[in-house]
Amino acid sequence: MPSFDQHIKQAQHNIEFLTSFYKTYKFNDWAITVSFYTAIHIIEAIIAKKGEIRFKGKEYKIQHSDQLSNILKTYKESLPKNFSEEFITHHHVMRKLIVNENFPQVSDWFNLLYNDSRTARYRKYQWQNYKVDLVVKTSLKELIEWANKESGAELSLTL
Amino acid sequence: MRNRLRFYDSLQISQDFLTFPFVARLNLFRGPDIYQLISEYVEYRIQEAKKEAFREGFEEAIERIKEAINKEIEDYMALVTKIVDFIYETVKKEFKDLKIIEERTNFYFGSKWIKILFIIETESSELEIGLSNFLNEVEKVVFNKLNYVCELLFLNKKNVEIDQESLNNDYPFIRRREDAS
Repeated sequence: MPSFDQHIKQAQHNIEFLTSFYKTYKFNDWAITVSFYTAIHIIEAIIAKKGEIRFKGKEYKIQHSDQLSNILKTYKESLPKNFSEEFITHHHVMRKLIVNENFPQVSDWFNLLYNDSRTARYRKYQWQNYKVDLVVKTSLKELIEWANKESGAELSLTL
Repeated sequence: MRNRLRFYDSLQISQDFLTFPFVARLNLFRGPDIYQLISEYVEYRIQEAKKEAFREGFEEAIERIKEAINKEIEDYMALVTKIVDFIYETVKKEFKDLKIIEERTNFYFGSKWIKILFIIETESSELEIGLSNFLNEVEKVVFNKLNYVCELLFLNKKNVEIDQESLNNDYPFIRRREDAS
């Protein structure tokens, strides 16, 4: 499993890539994609740092969101009511549930990025400039500031 | 934002909603043949039930499981419809410059996954953020209180060419609206 440092390093790498082309608005689809995957590294970094999360009120010691899926797969009896085994294999869905329960401070910002990543294909990957600004200047920026405060990471997004 | 919390109790499936005729509820959505979809799912579950039935006594087990399946489907569809309508009505009241054009869904009888996509139109990015936050709040309540995994998405069609084929494939059912133009 990647460590906290590795996730942060990858997040910073993605941020630098993003800032190298973002303002040209020529690759808005990539700006959205890179932002979403940067957000994922940020979330996974914090999970790795904390070493435990809550899921439906129960505590689990994990370093990565994928580990929760494996635990739930092994101990099926601990699955909540109405929670089909099928969800365990949807890693993006599982991560979103983890964010909602554990990181409410940024769940709205993460949700905005999640929404855009899930609906990209229905808009034929066309993104207006304002959408990119919304994602980078609000969602991603908020997530970066939160991660720095939460973990002492030194992520920097220069706009 | 806060005052929406008072609506949340209404997300519970009320008795009157549950007793709303099942067949009538099926007509709330237009799209592919939902009767076919349900009958295929019920048939699949009956095949599964037959295995159990050999152990327990055929007729009684089939009847009991059939009733249970129908109840599950009814509860699930009632909840999907209620969430769609709750969001539609709240947005209509509270998001003056944002219009919901269409509410689309698909039904996952096996996993009971609630997936709804709202096609909207607005020029305000603040309202998009507001809607996103609102949908996230509803998702949390549905998961925390009712245990259903819920994915509520939106797509602003303003100045965007929509891939109708993908949309029809992934979200084939559209909520009927009498006041729709």
